[in-house]
This record gives sequence, C-alpha cells and structure tokens, in this order.
Amino acid sequence: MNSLIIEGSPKTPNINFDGDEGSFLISGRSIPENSLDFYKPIIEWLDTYISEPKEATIVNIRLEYFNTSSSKCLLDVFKKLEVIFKRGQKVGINWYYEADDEDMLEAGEDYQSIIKIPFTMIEEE
Amino acid sequence: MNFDLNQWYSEKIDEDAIFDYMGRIEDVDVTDILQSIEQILKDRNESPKLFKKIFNVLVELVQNLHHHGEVPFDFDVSYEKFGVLILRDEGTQYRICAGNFIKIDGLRLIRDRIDQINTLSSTETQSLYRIILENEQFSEKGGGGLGMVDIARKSGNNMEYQFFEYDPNFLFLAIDVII
Repeated sequence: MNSLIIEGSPKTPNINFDGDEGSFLISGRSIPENSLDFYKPIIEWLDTYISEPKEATIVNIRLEYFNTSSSKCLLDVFKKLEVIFKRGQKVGINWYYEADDEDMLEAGEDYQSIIKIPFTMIEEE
Repeated sequence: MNFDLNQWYSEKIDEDAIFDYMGRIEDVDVTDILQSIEQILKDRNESPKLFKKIFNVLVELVQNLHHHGEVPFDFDVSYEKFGVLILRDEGTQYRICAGNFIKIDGLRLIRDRIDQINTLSSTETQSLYRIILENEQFSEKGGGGLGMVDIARKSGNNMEYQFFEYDPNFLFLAIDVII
C-alpha cells in the first residue's frame, strides 16, 4: 500500500504513514484553524488502510502542541485504528511527551480512557 | 454611555503589557500573533513548562477570536473577524486578555458556559473535557465548547469576564485568563 506523507508547517504536523510497514508517525504541531480540512485526507487514507491492514500497526504520536480543534480529529484517527484492533489485529499507540509536560501526558491519558487500543506513555528528556 | 473600545484598550496597555494587538483576525493574523508572542516568550527565556501553558491557552483564545469575533455594523472595515489580544506580565503571573464583539443574543450561552466551567474542580474539568471530546460533534467553527474547558484546565484558574454594551446589536466580551 502507498504511504501517506505530508510535510509539516508552523501550524500543521508532519504525517508519515508507512502503509507497507504499518508504522505511522504524527509529529510537530497541530494547531490549524480548521483541522477538519487538514485531517480529511488522513482519515480517507486510513479508510483504505483498515480494509487491508498489516498484521501489526504501530502509531507514534510526538506532538509538541495540538489545539482542541485537532483533538477530535486525532480521536477520529484512533477510532479508525480501533476498528482493526477490535478485529484482532495488533495495534499499539506510543504517546511521547517531554519531561515535565504534564498537560501532554494528560492529553494522552484522555485518549487512553476513550480508546481501547493499548497506549504506551513515553517520557522524553 | 456606550462602551469606548479605544479607551478600554489604551487603559489595558500599561507597562505590564508585553504584547498587544487590536484588529483583523484572519488566518494570517492568527499565525502572525502566535509567532510574535512565541518570539517574545523565547526572548524572555521563559521556562518550557510555563511557555507551553501560555502558548496552549493563547492558541485557543486567538482561534476563538478568529471563529467568533464579530465586526459591529458601524466599523468601516472590509474584513469580517475582529479581536483584541493583550499579554501582560504582572510579575508573579501572566494575564492574557482576549476581547471580541458578540451579537447580543449570544450573551446567555457564553456567560452560562463560562460560569459553569468556573464552578468545576480540576477533576470535574477533566471529566467534562473527556465527555465533550468523546460525544460532541465538532464543526468548522469550533469544538463544542472544548476550547473554553481546555483553557480552564491548562491555566488551572477561573476565567474572568466582562460584557460591555456597545450598541443595540453588539456586546463587547473581554475574557481574562491568568497563568
């Protein structure tokens, strides 16, 4: 399957979804005024991926900031992947946060409380 | 007597104000405002933890202005989004003041929402955030009130607000967030 690569900007994150490896990365900042527009092609790409997913899918979230407009879109990304997790495929989410950034840790815990996919919280110096 | 925006603004701009902006809030202005404040905080060597909190709250407040900042009928301008943003360093705390015009019929909704959030404990704020995130439909204009909850959660303080009568159609809403 093709990969989805979107280069980041001061307001939008880097997206690197490797469909062949089942390895997904969202990094940088996600603070666009209208997140629905930015995340639409990502959700559409995931619709294709989940129809024929890899045995294992790993998602790495390394966000510096994200706004509340992006928060729902991230949830939509996780919900897409939850579909294949519920089918018995292996899916994991690595949630990276900087040491002493309690807000980012709590944001990960918010998703962990809603989504059934296993989360690993990873503190970085 | 009607509210005098210029007088209100000039009174806010004292020696504690480290950034101030009044005018158009289109996409490009949101970007410029955020970049300017980011640079100011970097130049002041603010701690990463506080820097992130301020920046997070700013993003929500400025984007709130972008989505909801009305332009009163008597403004002779060509744009459709107007707002005010002031960042103050008050020594032991930062204060962000965001102001925008709203239609009078929007008063109750906003006032009730802020009053409700201000009564919540930090645990209750977290619960409300998760409920809205999981259940509310978001639109292009906003996140079902999630922005206000996020501001309260990140700042850890109540939002202070004032409404001023501007004309028969519009009120000016000023929200202060202390970090």
